[in-house]
Formats: sequence, C-alpha cells, structure tokens
Amino acid sequence: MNASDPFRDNADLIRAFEERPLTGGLKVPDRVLFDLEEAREVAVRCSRFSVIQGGADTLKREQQTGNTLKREQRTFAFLRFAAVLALFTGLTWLLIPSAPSTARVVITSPGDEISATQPTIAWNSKDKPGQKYDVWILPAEGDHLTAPALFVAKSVTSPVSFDQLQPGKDHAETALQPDTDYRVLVCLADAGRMAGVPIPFRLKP
Amino acid sequence: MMNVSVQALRTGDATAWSAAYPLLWEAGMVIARIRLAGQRYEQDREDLVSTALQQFVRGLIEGKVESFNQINTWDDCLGMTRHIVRSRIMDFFRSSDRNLEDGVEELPEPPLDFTPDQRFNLDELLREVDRLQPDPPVPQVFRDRFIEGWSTDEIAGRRGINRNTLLTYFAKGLRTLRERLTRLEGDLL
Repeated sequence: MNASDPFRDNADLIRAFEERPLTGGLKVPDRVLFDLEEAREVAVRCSRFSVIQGGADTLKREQQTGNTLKREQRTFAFLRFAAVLALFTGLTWLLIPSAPSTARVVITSPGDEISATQPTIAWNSKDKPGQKYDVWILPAEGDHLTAPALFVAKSVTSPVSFDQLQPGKDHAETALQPDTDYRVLVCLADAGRMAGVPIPFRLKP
Repeated sequence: MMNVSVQALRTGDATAWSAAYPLLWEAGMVIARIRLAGQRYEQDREDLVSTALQQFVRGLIEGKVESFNQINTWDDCLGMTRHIVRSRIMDFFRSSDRNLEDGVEELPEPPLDFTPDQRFNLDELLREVDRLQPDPPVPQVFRDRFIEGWSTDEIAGRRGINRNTLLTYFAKGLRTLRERLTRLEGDLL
C-alpha cells in the first residue's frame, strides 16, 4: 500500500466530489434508456404478478380459515369411507379365489417381417425354469382358437428350431411361403390356445 | 434539487422514471469517472452504470429486497444508486487483472460515515484552489481527474506533467479543499 497516496489520504473529499450536486445536464445514451425502460417494464410485470399471487394466497387463507369446520367434517367422512372400502376389499379378497396367473410370454423371434422360410421360434418368460410350452404357427386369418395349425410343436422350451415343428393336419408343406402373413402362438404346455396371444409376422417376398 | 416522487417510482410510473433517469445516470457516471478513470474504460463505465441503474429500477419496483423497501426519499434513491455503482466498480476491479498500485490510486475507500455537505459549490472550491495555487493549473487537472474522467497517467501525458508532480498537485489541492471546507463549516456553525 502507498501510504502517501493523496487519493487514499483524502478519500472523504473525493467522495464529496462524487456526490456533488447534480446538474441534470448529462444525456443518457439511447441504448441505456432502452435497457432501463425494459428493466422497468419487467419489474412492473413481476410486481403485478406478485400482487395477484399475494391476493390469491390471502383469499385462499381466508377460505381455509372459514371452512375449517367443513374441512374437518369432510376429513372424517373420508376416513369413514376409506375404512368401509378397506373392509369390503379384504372380504372380497378372502371370499373370491384369485384367478391363476396368465403366463407372460414375450416372443423374440420371428420379428415383424422375416426372410427365412424356416425361422427359429424363441421367446422370453418369467415362468419357472424348465417350463414347457406348446407352439403353433397359424394362418393370418381366422380365430386363433379354431384356426387350423400350419405347424405345431408340443412341450418344448425356447428356442425351437423349425425342424422341431410338425406340419398340421392337411398341411403338407415343410416351410413357410414367401410374401405370406402368419401368426405364431406360444402357450403353457397343455393349457390350450386360450392361454396365449398370437403374434403376427410376415415373410418377405 | 429536483424532487422525484419515490412513490411514483415504486409503482413503475413511466413519467417519473423518465425524469429520474438523467439524474441517476449523472450520479452514477460521476462516480464511475472518478473511480474508473481513463478513456480506455469509457465503454466499461457506461456498461457498469447502466447495469447498476437496471438493478436499482428492478429493486425499487419489485420491492423484494428489504434495503430497497427502506427507501423513502429522493436522496435515498441517489444514495442507493451510488452504493450499487461503487460496488459494481469494486467488482470490476476485483475481476480484472489490474495491479495493486493502480487500484490504490484509482479506488480510494471513502469513510462509510462521511456525509458530503452539498451546500458547497464545487466551482467555488476549485476557484479557491486556483487562487491559492495559480501555477500550475490545479483546477484544470482537478477537472480532468474528477469531472472529465481522465486517469492520472492520461492527464500527465496530455498536459506534459510528470506523474509524481501531478500527484503532488492533487495532494496540495485536496489539502486546500479540506481547509476551505473546514473553514466554511466553522462559519456555518
């Protein structure tokens, strides 16, 4: 630090220079005026928003104060309703036997559109290891419960190569036909076609 | 002294603010020219004061900060504006890589409890300096430094005066001003 610095030694006088009477004769640059007006408009908008928000909060508080009794009544009514509902749900759960869970099978092959005429059938499931499945390849049209199976494999596990599939009744072909739509259905073994959802796929021309 | 309605400013009244802008601008620029002297800082001075005024405008209208809510008079408005400008100039110095000696010369720390008496006319004080020290031109270098916004080095270069000599002139002039102020204050009391 410079101890003999005249500015530092006379900081109070320099402050007097800084705060001397204003003349009002200094022109404000246009760009500064523009920025200041923009700041003013933003501040006014924010201020009005705060006032509106404050008024809304006040109104809400008044309503809350005035309706305390009604709110408590509503709370008790809600608790009564919740208790009755819980009792009813518990009795229902005890009296009605739960339906057996449906096997969740996600077919990973074939995809939507394939080119192989003898595709491998593969799927994922959350069933216990070693679970057996029945596999059908069905025509695109018709009810999947009654449609004639084109190829069938019984009691198999994923993946199933096309060789493991047997042609269905009245179906002599040994492979899928190009430019044809099919459906593949995988269900738990011996559970019938009811237990699954057929997935459509198509062979490219 | 112009009297701007603080209440009108608080409500964001455009007319009141239009009248206030030039005065606030002048109050800020006077400080900036003294503390951030030199032509090379001309743009920085404008930017700093402009930003400070925007902060003041938003602070006064929005009323979210307690220090702004305590503003009651036009003098309070000027005081707050000056405070913001000084703070921003301090930040400017801290963020720049200027050396300490420059900072000492350019940025004196005023006493916080000092209240300038605006009954004293600056021109009169400068004339007093001129009367006591006619040679060299002390009032002119004072004006250069404290009104026009030139740095000490710029004044030394423009007027062909050695920098240390110039600092001596400033010291003598300030001492004379102090004596004059003290005498006037005693007369008034």
